[in-house]
Amino acid sequence: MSQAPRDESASSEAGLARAWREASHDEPPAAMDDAIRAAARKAVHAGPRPAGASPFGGRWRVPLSVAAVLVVSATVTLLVAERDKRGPRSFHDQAAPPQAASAPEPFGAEPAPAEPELPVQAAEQQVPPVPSLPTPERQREPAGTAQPQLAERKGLGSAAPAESAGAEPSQAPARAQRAEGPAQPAPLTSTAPAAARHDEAEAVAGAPAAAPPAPRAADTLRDAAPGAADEPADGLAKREARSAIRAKESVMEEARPQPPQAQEPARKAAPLRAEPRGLPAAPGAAASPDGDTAADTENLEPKAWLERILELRRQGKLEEAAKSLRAFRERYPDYPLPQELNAPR
Amino acid sequence: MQGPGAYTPALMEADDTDEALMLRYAQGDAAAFDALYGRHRGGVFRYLLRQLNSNRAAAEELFQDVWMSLIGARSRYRVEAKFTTWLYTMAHNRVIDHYRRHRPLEVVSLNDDEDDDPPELAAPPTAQPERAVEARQQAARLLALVDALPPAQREAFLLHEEGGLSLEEIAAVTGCDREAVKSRLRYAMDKLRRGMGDLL
Repeated sequence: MSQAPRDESASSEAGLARAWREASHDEPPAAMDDAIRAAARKAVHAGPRPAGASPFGGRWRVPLSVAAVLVVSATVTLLVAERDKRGPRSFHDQAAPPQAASAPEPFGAEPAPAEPELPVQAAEQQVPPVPSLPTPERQREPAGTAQPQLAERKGLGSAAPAESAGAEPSQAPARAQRAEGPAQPAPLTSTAPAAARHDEAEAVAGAPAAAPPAPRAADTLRDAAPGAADEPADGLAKREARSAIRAKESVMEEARPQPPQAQEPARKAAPLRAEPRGLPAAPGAAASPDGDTAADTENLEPKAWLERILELRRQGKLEEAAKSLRAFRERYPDYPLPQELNAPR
Repeated sequence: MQGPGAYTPALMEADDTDEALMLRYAQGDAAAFDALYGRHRGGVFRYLLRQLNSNRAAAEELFQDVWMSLIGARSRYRVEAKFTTWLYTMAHNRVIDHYRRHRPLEVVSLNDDEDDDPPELAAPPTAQPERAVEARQQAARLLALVDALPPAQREAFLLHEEGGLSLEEIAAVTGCDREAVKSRLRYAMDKLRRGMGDLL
């Protein structure tokens, strides 16, 4: 393209632009101009301040942000450190009471007097589920530690745990048997030496007869009733039967050795509770010559059973001990016997 | 629609550039808006008026809408492109929206590169004795020629003449490439020159 046509084109474009400027004079109306300018002023004065004009949006933004982060970090650090200081104590404070409250009663522990009157449903809510069958070691531990306390309580004549009562409420000679109960040796599952158990048993035997060492809750109520001693035997039997029903519904009944006919329904009703099979035998139960006690013995764990057999031997009940040992061998043919039982008597 | 590009705000060194005025207005200077508005009110209005085929009422409505949008967007304004590019982009978008609402089919034709012949207008009167009459006739003819342009060519011409935009800026506003804009603008100029004849 030559220079002349380019200049001609440029001059024509310039002429066209000039002609356009002369031709086009349209303007917006003045009222619209005023409205738009007013809107612009109103937006500036009444609207939110732009980010750049904010007193915190300029040079102070970063320092203030850093300061805020530091303050928050320091606060969180102090809180965490303070919580760590008292962390273990507060943890035990929070964790221990529910555990103690919900744990099943140790075999020798002191039962609450009003607990037998609780309905079964409420009692089940208080007893946590037992995940597995208790091992003899587990059962022995609380029993061994709690039994001396039981002996002390018996000696002082204070309220005694209900599981020390070995007689059934429905049986007529129950009272007399309970009176003899403290004279019997301590529970066989205790890990204490036999001599020590004998001492404990003697201490229990020294308790005054007016204060029965192991009155069950139902019996305690019955004993506290006026005129209970003068009650006829028939009425007394009825009352004891009612007490037995209530006692079956209580938690303490679950923690107590029961006769076989009462034990099975209880197990069905509360399958997750501690199995009474591993419970230590109550004092007096081992000396009972009736068949129920033998059945109780057969329901014991092997080790507890063997302890009971040894106890029978110590008491001179050799025939009964031999009978129980035979039953034991039938039940547990492979269980190793202690040396005392292997030796001929 | 708007391509910010790599615009360096070298003009910000001067206090009276469009960008500087807009920033001052964004910081609360209402007088800066008055100056900015005074500079561009006519060009934006004429652009809208010609794009809307001289529909004055619609042009006024869109004109107000464009400036109110600018006022509302003042706090978000960043100098990423020339101010006029941003302003005419808003105007272009309003025109597109207008045609979508009222004449949807014209949206398609807005981007057509039609190369039809200039309209057959009446021959310019060569024997007008008076200069004023001649000027009015010249203006009327030119306006008629512009109105008769294809929309894409007309828009390129209007953005070039009223907004003072370069080829790149027009491309940014219209969303086309530079060569397409150059072609449209050349066709528009040729048609207008031929239509004006010896009146130029």
